Amino acid sequence: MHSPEDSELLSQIRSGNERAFTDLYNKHRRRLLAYCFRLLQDRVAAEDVVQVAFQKAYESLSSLNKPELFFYWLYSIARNEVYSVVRRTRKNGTISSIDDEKDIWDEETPHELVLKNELAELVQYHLNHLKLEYREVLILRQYDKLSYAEIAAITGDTISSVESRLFKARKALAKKLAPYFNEEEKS
Amino acid sequence: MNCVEYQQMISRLVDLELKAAASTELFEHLGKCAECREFLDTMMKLTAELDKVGMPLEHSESISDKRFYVGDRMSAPRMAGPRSFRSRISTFALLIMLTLFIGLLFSVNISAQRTQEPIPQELVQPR
Repeated sequence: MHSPEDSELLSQIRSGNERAFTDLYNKHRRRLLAYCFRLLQDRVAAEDVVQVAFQKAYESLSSLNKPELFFYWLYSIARNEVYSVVRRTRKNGTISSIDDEKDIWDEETPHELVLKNELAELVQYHLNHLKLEYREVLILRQYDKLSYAEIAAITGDTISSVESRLFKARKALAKKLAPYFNEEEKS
Repeated sequence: MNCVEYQQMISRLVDLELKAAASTELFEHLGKCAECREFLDTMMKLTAELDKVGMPLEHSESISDKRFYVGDRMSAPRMAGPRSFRSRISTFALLIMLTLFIGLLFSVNISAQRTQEPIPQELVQPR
């Protein structure tokens, strides 16, 4: 998402028009909030992350060498904040990078799962229980409609790593949901 | 190429990231492989279902549609920190103030009662 509009606003900020940052904020806040909310599943935490991300972006604008890449830069700041929040709140404080399929899922409570009746709820449930590193690529692709290259720019991974994580996330989700897809077809 | 590799191609196809030449190769394979056809079908259903889960924020967006002002209307970026903690602090402060207020009312009431002049005995005693 190379945006000439972002570049223009950034050049205005650099020439002293700080109000232009408000426009940048208003332009990107909603989308960034949705991204953070999907990752964190907590509205308050997501809003805090968005605020911190914009604050950090504002404070370090001078370090952004390519203004046209502001969008990715902002997302990667927010992403780092999300990971910090997750590290702080997770019991073991770690984020796995193991590629084994069993490591695609966060812990799930079978009792919770029994309560999910609707397919949409099940989809949401399993999406929420994907590990962060798998969920984020799926969210960036599915909801933010970013290309593999754009996702890689945000996550700092290679395109093939993004592709691989997307495939594994989808395959794991499909495995969980296939019985319900078949059930829906029959009914 | 094995089925796992074709299924990776299906994932790219769903994302519209598969090049034309690879698509041709994939569709040739799909013509022969029921397992991969089923995988494609599941991927399409999954994508459709994920789309239905949709955007979680629209309905509540207006509640906290914040603005980030800088410059002459500086309302500096809200400082980082857990907002829920701040909310708890303010709720706690409110509770303390309420308790103090009730305590104050109570003590004023008692001291007012104490300062009242005693009722003359002849009015209290029955005739």
